Amino acid sequence: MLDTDRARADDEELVRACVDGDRRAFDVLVERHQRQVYRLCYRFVGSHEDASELAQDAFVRAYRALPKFERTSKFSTWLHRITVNVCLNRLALKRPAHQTLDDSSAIRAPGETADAAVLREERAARVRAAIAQLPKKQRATLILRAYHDLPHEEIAGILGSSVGAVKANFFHALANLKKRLTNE
Amino acid sequence: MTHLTDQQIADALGGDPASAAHVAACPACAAKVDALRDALRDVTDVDVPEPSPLFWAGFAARVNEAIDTAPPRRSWWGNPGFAWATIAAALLVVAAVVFVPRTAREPEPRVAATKTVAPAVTEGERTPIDDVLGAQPWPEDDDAWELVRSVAADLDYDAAREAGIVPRPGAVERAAVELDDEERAELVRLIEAELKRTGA
Repeated sequence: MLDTDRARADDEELVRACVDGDRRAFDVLVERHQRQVYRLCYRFVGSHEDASELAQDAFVRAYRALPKFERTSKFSTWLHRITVNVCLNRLALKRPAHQTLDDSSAIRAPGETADAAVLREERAARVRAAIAQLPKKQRATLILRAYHDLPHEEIAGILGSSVGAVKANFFHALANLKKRLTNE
Repeated sequence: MTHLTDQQIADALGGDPASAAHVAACPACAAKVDALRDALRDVTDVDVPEPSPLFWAGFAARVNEAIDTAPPRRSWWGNPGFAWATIAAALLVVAAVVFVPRTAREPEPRVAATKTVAPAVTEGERTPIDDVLGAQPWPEDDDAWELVRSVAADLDYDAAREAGIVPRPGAVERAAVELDDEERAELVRLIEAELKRTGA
């Protein structure tokens, strides 16, 4: 497959090419999904170093598992599932790093004062900490729904849950979060 | 009025028309949905810092490198090393069961039931416990017994009793009940010998 063809090919075609031995096709898949995967990892672990390591690990696992990808779901859903599993496994092994203000740096938005930027970042740090304390499934559901805007059905496919369970987890995640943020 | 379930509230947050219609007519559910919508807004306000463009420029290459260098993960039960370790552990257990001397695994023989001959103890070496047991035998090379014997040499029974080192209530009776016929006969012989020795 030529580079121009790869760039135009959809995920399924790239997966087929990759399974047939076209390694460059996987590069295109990586470039296409790397930001989503990285951001998903970052939401779980809250640091660039961990997120980049986990994102890389997720792609390596995806590459090795590609021959077993049954294509009953979208490639992106399957890749999300792998990524979530990688992140949840990491969380099970290691407590998330304590996030300081410096980790995400209070970068000022256009027209924002320095004080406002600091307050916004402090608020963000509290929210991240509250999310980090949620039970694993609630946390994963909230991240996929709120940040990646995935429909309940797709989240159910990623987490291996029922749609009803995803909705309930989303409700309880927000309710718990509200309680934690209010109690501070 | 029936209120929305948790799942229907999740639907309402996603803009489901049926749930939204209920929320419009139900202040209680509207309050719940508003509270959760505030929490959701707090969540979505938090952004992920964008890494530098250089990070993305080299990301696919790093993934490729990792694919080429990192060995494929094996399940632990399929790992030959794990299989050999399991076999080795099993062999060690078998060896321990088969080759460890029986005496090391058997409970300490009761003194009265022991048939071995006691090492000769000179009169000067006799301890109070020797006096109690008379010529009762113990294994010649038994370090544990030797330790008990040396400790007993300085034993002050009254001090021990004051320190609370006394048989628990019923312990003697329980021990007597647990003796077999041979042990019980031996105990009788010991008591008679001790009574005779002290002239009681």
